Formats: sequence, C-alpha cells, structure tokens
Amino acid sequence: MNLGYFMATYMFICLAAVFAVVSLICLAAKSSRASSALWAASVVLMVDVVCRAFIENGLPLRDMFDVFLILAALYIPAGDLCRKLTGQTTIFADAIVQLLLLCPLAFAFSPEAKPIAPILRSNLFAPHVLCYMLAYVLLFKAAVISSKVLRGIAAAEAVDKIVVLAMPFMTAGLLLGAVWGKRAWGDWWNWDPKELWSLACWCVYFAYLHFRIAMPAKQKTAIVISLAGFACVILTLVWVNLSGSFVGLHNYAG
Amino acid sequence: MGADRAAEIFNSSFAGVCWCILGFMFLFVAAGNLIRRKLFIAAVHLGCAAIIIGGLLGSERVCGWRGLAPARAWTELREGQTAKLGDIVMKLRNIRVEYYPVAHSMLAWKIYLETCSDKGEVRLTPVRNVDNLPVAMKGFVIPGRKIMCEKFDWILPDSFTLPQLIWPNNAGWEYEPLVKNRQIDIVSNMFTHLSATIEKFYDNLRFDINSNEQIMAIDSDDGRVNRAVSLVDANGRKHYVFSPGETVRLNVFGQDGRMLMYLPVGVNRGGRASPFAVILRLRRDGTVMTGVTAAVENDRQVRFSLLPLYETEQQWISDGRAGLLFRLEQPEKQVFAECVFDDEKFVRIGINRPAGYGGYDFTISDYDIDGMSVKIFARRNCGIFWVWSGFVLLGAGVTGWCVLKLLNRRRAAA
Repeated sequence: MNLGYFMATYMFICLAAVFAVVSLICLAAKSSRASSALWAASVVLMVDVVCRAFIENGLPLRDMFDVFLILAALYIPAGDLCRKLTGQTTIFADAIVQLLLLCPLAFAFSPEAKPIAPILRSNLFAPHVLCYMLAYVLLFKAAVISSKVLRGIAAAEAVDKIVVLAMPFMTAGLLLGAVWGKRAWGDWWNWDPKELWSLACWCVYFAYLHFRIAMPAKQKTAIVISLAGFACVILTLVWVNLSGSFVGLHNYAG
Repeated sequence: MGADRAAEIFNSSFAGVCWCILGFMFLFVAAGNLIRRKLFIAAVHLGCAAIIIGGLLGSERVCGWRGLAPARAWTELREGQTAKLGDIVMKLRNIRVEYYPVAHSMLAWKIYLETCSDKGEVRLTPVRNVDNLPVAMKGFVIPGRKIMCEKFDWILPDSFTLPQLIWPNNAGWEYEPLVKNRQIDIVSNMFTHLSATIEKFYDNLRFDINSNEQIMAIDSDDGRVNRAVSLVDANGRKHYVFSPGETVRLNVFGQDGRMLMYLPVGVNRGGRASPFAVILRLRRDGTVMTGVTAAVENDRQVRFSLLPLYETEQQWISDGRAGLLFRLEQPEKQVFAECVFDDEKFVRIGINRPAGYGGYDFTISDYDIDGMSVKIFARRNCGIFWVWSGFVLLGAGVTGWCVLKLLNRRRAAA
C-alpha cells in the first residue's frame, strides 16, 4: 500500500489522540479548554475522513477501520448536541470514549484503502451505514449518561431524550438495510447474525422506551435495559464482525 | 452461530401461530392509538403488523419460495450449467466480470526469462528491462517446478489470470494448474499449432486463426472490426488475435490437429492495459509436454513467446527465452451472470441488480471468479407489498413520534 497514505492516516489518529489526552489534562483547570481540545480531535478526524473520501473516491465506509474512524469523528459533535439537549456535561467520559474509539484504529485495523466490494456498490450503502453510525454515537453518549444516572447524578430523562433522538436513525438504518438486502441478496430478511443483532438492539431500545412510558418511576430498571441495549450495540458493531463465531452475509465488513 | 437455529425456530409452525397473535396484538394497539388520535404510535404498530403479515405471506408455507431447484438452496452454477425452478429451466450461459481500472502500481510487468527448468534450481539472472516499463529486474529462482519471485514486494503478482481449463478431448493429457499465486510452472513448447478463437458466446464473434496476416476480430452482428491484437511467436509468426475487453477462448491444438483444450481467458480486465499470460503445463506418458505464454500489451502488437524452452527433459535450448507478461489481479467491480430460460428469454443478473422472470427475483448471492461460478438465489415473495407498506408506516411513525416527543419536551422545558 501507499506508505504516504498510511503515514498520513496514522498521523491524523495520533494527533486526535494527543488532543484527547490534552483535553483530559485541561479538564482539571478549565472545562472549556478541554472541550475545545476534544473538538480539535474531532476536526482532525473529520479532515482524515474527508481525505480518505477523496482518495477512495467515495465515502470511506467500507471496513471496520472506516467505521471506527467515523464513529470517533462524529462522537464529539454528537456529544455536544446531546449536551445541549440534556444539559449533561461529560467531558472526562467523552475523552475516554474518544481514546477508546481511537485504540482499534491505531492497533487493530488496517487503514489500507481497499477497492469497494461489488456488494457495497449500492446507493443504499452510504445512507444505511451512516444512519447506523449516527444512531451508535448517540447511543454511546446515552450509555455514558446512563452511568451517571446509576450513580444518581443525572436523571433518566436525559437518556430518554438521546434514545428518542437515536431511534429514527436506527430504524432508518434497519429498514434501509432490509431494502438493500432485498436487492443484493434476494430477500429483505436473511437470518444473518448482523441483522438479528441489529433487530435485537432495536427491540431492546424500544423496550426501554415502552418501559419508560409504562413505569416512569423505575428509573434504575430502565437504565439497566438501556445498558443492555448498549451491550447489544457493541455485539452488533464489533463482536458479530470480528469474533469469527458469526458467519454471515456481513462478513466483508470485518 | 445461532442464526440458523433462530431461523428454524421462527419458521416453525408454533412460531407461525405466535407471529399471527403478535400481528393481531399490534393491530389492536394500533386501533386503540388511532381512536386516541395518536397517529404516529398507531403508524408504528400498524407498520409492525404489516411487516408480520408480509413475512407470513412471503413464507414458503403460504406462497413464497426461496432457493433454486433442485437444491432448494443457493445453487452454485458454472458456465453452461442448467438449474430447474419448478417448470422453469434456467441455463447460465456466461459470467461477466467488470474490474476496477488498473492502478499505476498494478500495471503489468513484462519479464524476459533467460532460461528456466523444471529440474532442480536454476537461477534466472539477469532479466532484461523492458523499454517502457519502469521495471528493475532482480532475478528469479526456480525451486523444483516453480518459478518464484525473490522480490515479492517488487513484482507483487498476487495472482494472474487463472483461466479455467476445459477439455473437449483430453487425449490422455493431464492438466496441472499452472498459474498460482506467485508461482509459475515451467513452460515449454511441444505444440505445433496454437490458436485462439474469440467466441462471444451469444454473438458468434469468431475469427480465423491460420492466416499469416494480422487478423482482425469481426463482430458478426454489425460487421464492425473491433480492436484486435495479433501476437507474434518466437519465429515471427502471428498466431493470436484477441478483442480486448472480451472473454476469449484460447484453443490449443495437438500435433494431430485435434483441439486439446480451450481456455476462457479474460482480456483487458482493467481497461487501461490488456495484457494476460497463459501458462500451461501438460503431462502425458510421464512426459512434461507443453507450456504456453501469450502476452498482449495495451493495444499494440507485442512480442509473444511460444516457448521452445526444451526439446527433451534434459536438453535446453539456449535461445528459449520466455517473455512473460504478468498481469496482476484487479479487484472486481461487478459480476454479471447471463442466463437464458427455456423460452430463450435472456436475463442478466448482477450484484445489487436483481432480475425478474416468471414471478421470481433472481440475485447473485456469491461468486467465484477463478472457478467461474456464481450462486444464484431465486425468491418469490407474495407478501412484499405488505412488507414495503409496513416499512413506510414504521419509518414514518417512529420518526414522527420521536420528533414530536423531542419538540414537546422542548416546549415543556421552555
């Protein structure tokens, strides 16, 4: 592969990681500086996404490296949106999540720009994946705030708002995937592990919303359901693709 | 893990009853919400009910159908093979593959071998640089029967065109696959006659091979002369004509004039260059017989080596230099399966481009380019209208409900 491209990608990742660490250091002194540092990390990653998009001649969404890169790039803007929506500030946790998202980019996945597989050459590919990415970053944020609710320093309404914001994206991702599945594999539902786990995520988060409407007083139980949903997200996003236990139609995504 | 079991459970009769009950429950909840004028919530539940109805209608228990007979599963088809689908007979006539353009780093390298052997290790040094290719040749070794590149990072032959060898009449010859990853079997020449035929399987694109003149490929449909390339053998004779961009058939004849075999060879897969290499190794009566290489470079007439490497196993011909043009494999962009049905109806099925016939949708679910096979999946789904309707209702309902909920909370907060 092109060495310059390889080096540039890692330079962006390192720079973003440095900004995330700087934000952790600044947090003790001034939270606005820490927030700015996180935004800087996000901007660096977005620049990397744009560069990759130019080089790869399309949205870089073709493997796990791209997926994590976009998740890391979107996490801070999505987090800021959630902060405005809920009033919950979680800079420390955001910096840690940002670093956690950068870890697989640096150590696990290859940044090699591969030609897009024939199956991914569809108009539905980018919207399907982007909807899921947006939903997942919001649900990451929901999980962070859920931990605050469990510790009694935030109300469950904050989680509600984020989950409500994420659900249309998750639903759109699921439905677009089914429409695409019909074109690509012949059926809108193929009993693929990734499909099953995506549906499981969707059902758990809808169970959470139903539970919140039915029993608004039982906040901690609701939060446990939302965290179970987040565990399903992790399973869907990472384990189903990487474990090797789930052989299915989404294998190319690993 | 578990997905097949889940499919089994959810397709069982008991689960069918449960799905019906669940569908009714969704309808019931939707009706209640409609009465209370909670339209978005009603839409969500109606959507779920519609999807369940569509799923049940599309199941094989009702009127749906999955698979491709007789396997009733995803059926792997090779070129020329036939599959049955109830009363429908489908024949796979051709597999067409589109490739990504060749990147500069993937341009073909032409390599002149000084000598080679299938006995012991022979070092091939030095190899002459070819004029217009930025190749700095380093040399090769042949351990055993294989030529191996010393500098993998330099030549990068992840794989070459690996044609599928078809034997109409093998005449006692055994074939060994020759072109493997970074390995080339020994080439030699015992053929007296080597020819190529372009055969576009449906257009009867053919041309003669015995003329001494450069032969142009003529499309029998429109009479147009396509781009053609002639190849010159070591004695200056022209032998091959190919029309770049097509899959051509390389016919190989034995000394008795009978065709021994033919190879479908992809040409011009990348669009920019149209090179290929065909390397064969044949055995009969304990004798290693024949190898062939052919090289086409861009659209120009190029050197071709019909390789007189040795006459007997031990005797080497000093001028038996082989000109091999390595063509690196490019990633595929699209794969088409061209099929005909028993009423001569022609369909082209592509990845993400399903085709319909007789109430069925056909899709390519998997493919193997080297083996020239595709897995074709047939599906008849009577409930698809309900499913799409359900998707629209569900998508609109969820989006509307969530937006409304967020707006209401903002208003309440204000």
